[in-house]
Amino acid sequence: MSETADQQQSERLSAFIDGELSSSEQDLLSRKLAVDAALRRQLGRYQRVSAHIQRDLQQQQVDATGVAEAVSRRLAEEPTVLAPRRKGIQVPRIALGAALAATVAAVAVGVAPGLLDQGEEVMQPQTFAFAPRLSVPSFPAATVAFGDTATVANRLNETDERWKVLQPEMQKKLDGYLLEHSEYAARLGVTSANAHVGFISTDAAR
Amino acid sequence: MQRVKRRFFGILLLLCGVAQASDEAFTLFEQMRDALHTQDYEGRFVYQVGQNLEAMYIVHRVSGDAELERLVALDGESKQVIRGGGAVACLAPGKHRMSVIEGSPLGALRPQRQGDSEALRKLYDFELGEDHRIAGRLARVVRIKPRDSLRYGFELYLDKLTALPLRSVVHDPQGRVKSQTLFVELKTGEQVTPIERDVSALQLTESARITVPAGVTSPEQAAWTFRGLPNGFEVRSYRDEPARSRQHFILSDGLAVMSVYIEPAESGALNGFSNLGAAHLYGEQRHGHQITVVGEMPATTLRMAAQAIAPR
Repeated sequence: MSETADQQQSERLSAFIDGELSSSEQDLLSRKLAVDAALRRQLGRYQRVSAHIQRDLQQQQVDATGVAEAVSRRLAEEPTVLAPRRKGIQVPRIALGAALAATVAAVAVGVAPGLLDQGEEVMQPQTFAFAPRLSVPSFPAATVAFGDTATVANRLNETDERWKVLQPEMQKKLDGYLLEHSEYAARLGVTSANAHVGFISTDAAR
Repeated sequence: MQRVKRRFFGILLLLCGVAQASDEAFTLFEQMRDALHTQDYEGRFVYQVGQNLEAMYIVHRVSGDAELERLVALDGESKQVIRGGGAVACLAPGKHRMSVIEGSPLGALRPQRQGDSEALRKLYDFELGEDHRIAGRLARVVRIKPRDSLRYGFELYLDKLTALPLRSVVHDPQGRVKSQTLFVELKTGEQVTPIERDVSALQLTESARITVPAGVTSPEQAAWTFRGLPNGFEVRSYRDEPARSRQHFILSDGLAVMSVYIEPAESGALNGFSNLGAAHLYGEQRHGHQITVVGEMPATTLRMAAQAIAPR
């Protein structure tokens, strides 16, 4: 079977599991399943995938207590976060970086363990078996410099070119490119824990 | 005369100290690269792009020659990437769709050559920063500063015990933060949950693989070539995929990596710049083909690569 036909078949099976097929399409697929053992096996695998994801989802509804959201909220509450930079005061970049490091670490480490502890009481050890608690002394208060982050506007300045908002179909295709690209980046140029973080990010900015 | 001599030796010692720190920073960087593929680790971290923060979970195990890995988004849509058994699977709930890359595409990569390190150090300055404490662990700081505006800089906080990056910050040429990851919990070695036990996770990487027929993999035989790549970048891999009517080049300067895709022109394809999270994209039609370039680097660098492509 050609790759395109393979993909179409995979799509049909996924849609079947999701209940997205019309009744005529369901009939057609049922007839194929009746005579095609390989297709039945593939459907079985997809059903296991589906069950796996459902299980993860249920666990993560408890597990993902919004660590990042809480960190973000906490940062937003810091009065200096939203304060515009005062003109005439040049903060050395290294100091700014150090302040960012200290603050992000302080806020993240201070907030996250408490939130993670809440979720662990009901977590299934099979998937997220985290035992250690961080007993970390709080960092001294530091200047928050989170507003230094580059934004879309910065990117526009970077190129002075038009930026395109991706249509869903195009984004789906380019998502595939990004997944593949991340695999290469993982070996050649990775500088963080995982090259796929950018891909897996739900990324409200998309 | 004595004073002049003392000053001379003082400056010499200072220069030696700077060179030594740079060497040490580069050694730490290489240890980090190695650690990411050879160490077992598990943890939760925060990922930031722009003003957006997300929590993620990762477990990475080395079993024989194989790397098994599971990366899960803890916020929003429960996406996960699972790597193992020679395949990479991306799972997105709701639609239950998954895309799988058959086999490891890494096999086609040109291996590291002697001299790559020197080439890298011509493009970036490696510096040591002051030690920090991240996620309850002591970290050494390595700053990697590009010598031009074609690539991003990095600030890496490396665990003193394992050299794993506890925090990684990507800076644009103006020094602004583009993206960063920050661990809030990290376990290493024997503390790591054996992913092998999670049979269902590994099953996923074995299901529904899409087989891409092997095509030409030698860039010298490609129908396309690059004329005038951005400084320091070279072709590291090439893959012709006739079934997809697509050709894929991997370019790298040793640290920054971009993918160049060439396929028949079609309407509605990307024409201009865009982004997916921290990654930039550039697309344009040239010589009757759609050229799409992906990478986490200045968008102008991607455009330079796209415009360097030409039929052989």
